[in-house]
Amino acid sequence: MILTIDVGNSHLVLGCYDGERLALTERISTDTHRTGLEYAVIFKAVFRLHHVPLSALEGAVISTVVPSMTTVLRDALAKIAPDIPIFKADSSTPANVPLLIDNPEQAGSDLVITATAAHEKYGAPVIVIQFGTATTLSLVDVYGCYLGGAILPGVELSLHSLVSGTSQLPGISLQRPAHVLGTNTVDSMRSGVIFGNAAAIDGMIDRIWKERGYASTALVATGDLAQTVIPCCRHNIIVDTELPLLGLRIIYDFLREEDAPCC
Amino acid sequence: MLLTIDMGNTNIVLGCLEGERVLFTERMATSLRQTELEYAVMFQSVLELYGISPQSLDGIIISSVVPPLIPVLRAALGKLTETAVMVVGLELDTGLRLRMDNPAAVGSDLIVDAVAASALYGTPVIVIDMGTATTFSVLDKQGDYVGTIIQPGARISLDSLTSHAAKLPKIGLTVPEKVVGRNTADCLRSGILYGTAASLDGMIDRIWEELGYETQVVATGGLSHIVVPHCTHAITCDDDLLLQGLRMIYERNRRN
Repeated sequence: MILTIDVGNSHLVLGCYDGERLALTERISTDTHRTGLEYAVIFKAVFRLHHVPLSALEGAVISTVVPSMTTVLRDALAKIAPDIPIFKADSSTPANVPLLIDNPEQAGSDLVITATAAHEKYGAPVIVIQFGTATTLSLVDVYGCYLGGAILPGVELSLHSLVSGTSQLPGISLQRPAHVLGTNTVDSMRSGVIFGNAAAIDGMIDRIWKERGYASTALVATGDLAQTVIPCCRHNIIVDTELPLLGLRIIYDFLREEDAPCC
Repeated sequence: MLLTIDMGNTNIVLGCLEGERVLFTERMATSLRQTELEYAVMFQSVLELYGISPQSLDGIIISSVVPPLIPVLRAALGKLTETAVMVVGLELDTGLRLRMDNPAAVGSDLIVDAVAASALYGTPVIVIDMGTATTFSVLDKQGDYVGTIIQPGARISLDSLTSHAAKLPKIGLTVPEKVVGRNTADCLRSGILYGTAASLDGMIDRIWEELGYETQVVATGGLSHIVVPHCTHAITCDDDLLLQGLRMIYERNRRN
């Protein structure tokens, strides 16, 4: 089994592939104060919870947007599965879609890996929408090249900044309100956040299509909140929360075959 | 002369009007820590800057979404003048019919925006106020206030994003060359500017659909001039909306 770990600014998502099948996936908070041992304990608990023996692990691949987490996770894996190869996937991994952007080494590895998976699974051109600390839109063109995109403040993060930056607005749970027009504060905020983000994504897609001269492209969204926001979009967008992990598995296979050095 | 004070979560906007004519508007940071004396000194300096004596103020009206600061501002103004201070709230007559679950919970900035927009632009109308929050206040064909939408403002969202994401730089809100950015700063610029514009456009469409008809759209607040030119809908920018709304409410209630 292949362990895939996608580290975001708020959460890391762990997945375990048995061949092509995603056997388990869990979400753990990203905490740079935690030591390798602490993550080892959490990982071990995840495997026990899913009745997967650690001895079944053949290899691991990590992508991170928090640089300091690489060492911590490598330490953690060394404690629970000392002999497996561990690869680091980043924007420079050759398995990825080619990056036609200003500084390819600065590209977020999460974006590139997800774009790689979307290209493989849904073809090109494709726009990938990723919900996380930020909401990102990435474009892979007809030739399968990564052209860049746009970064918007994440849904939960911006909501949190609104609640903490104002005196009279309460914390709310994110659910679709019955109407666009809110007649109380909570529904007004829900409408603004859910429909507002859906509208922003619809409009960004229109603007990208217009700029590139596309009549349409494949559209695919990933990330926890995709299931909440995407159904409120006007465009027909596929929700596929497995994409980042799938991208990591594709990259693992490639690096393994290339006999690439472990991290 | 009328002094208007619009207290938001981020800024306090001071305005001074002679009749309908705006003499000045100035902006200062909202701070919960400043004392009444510090606010009094600030207000006095602003008035002095424009050669206006506090004694020449015949009226003062405050709209605030920061309730704990209302007594502080009242006390500060009390140090400068004996002129009575009017505070926007349910006890004032605004002429608006609020078809909301709890009219007392509607932000006073939204009410002032709505009063001004309905008088200056007619109804039906959507008022978009881009401050700490981006708010939409909706007045229907009958002129009734029928709904509010509240979004995180572009500026605080951007600030919280760059402070929470390890690899994202702090940027100024300038117009990027392309929608599809080729570097992190341009991707952020595109996302904030075009994303906010797209969100306004899409919300207007959804509001119109729910109302069953189209309306005028007026925008106000710090960021409106930067974002509105990138919207596909025709939106009128009016910086003085809150100021004029405060004047209208003051004039309507002054005799009581």
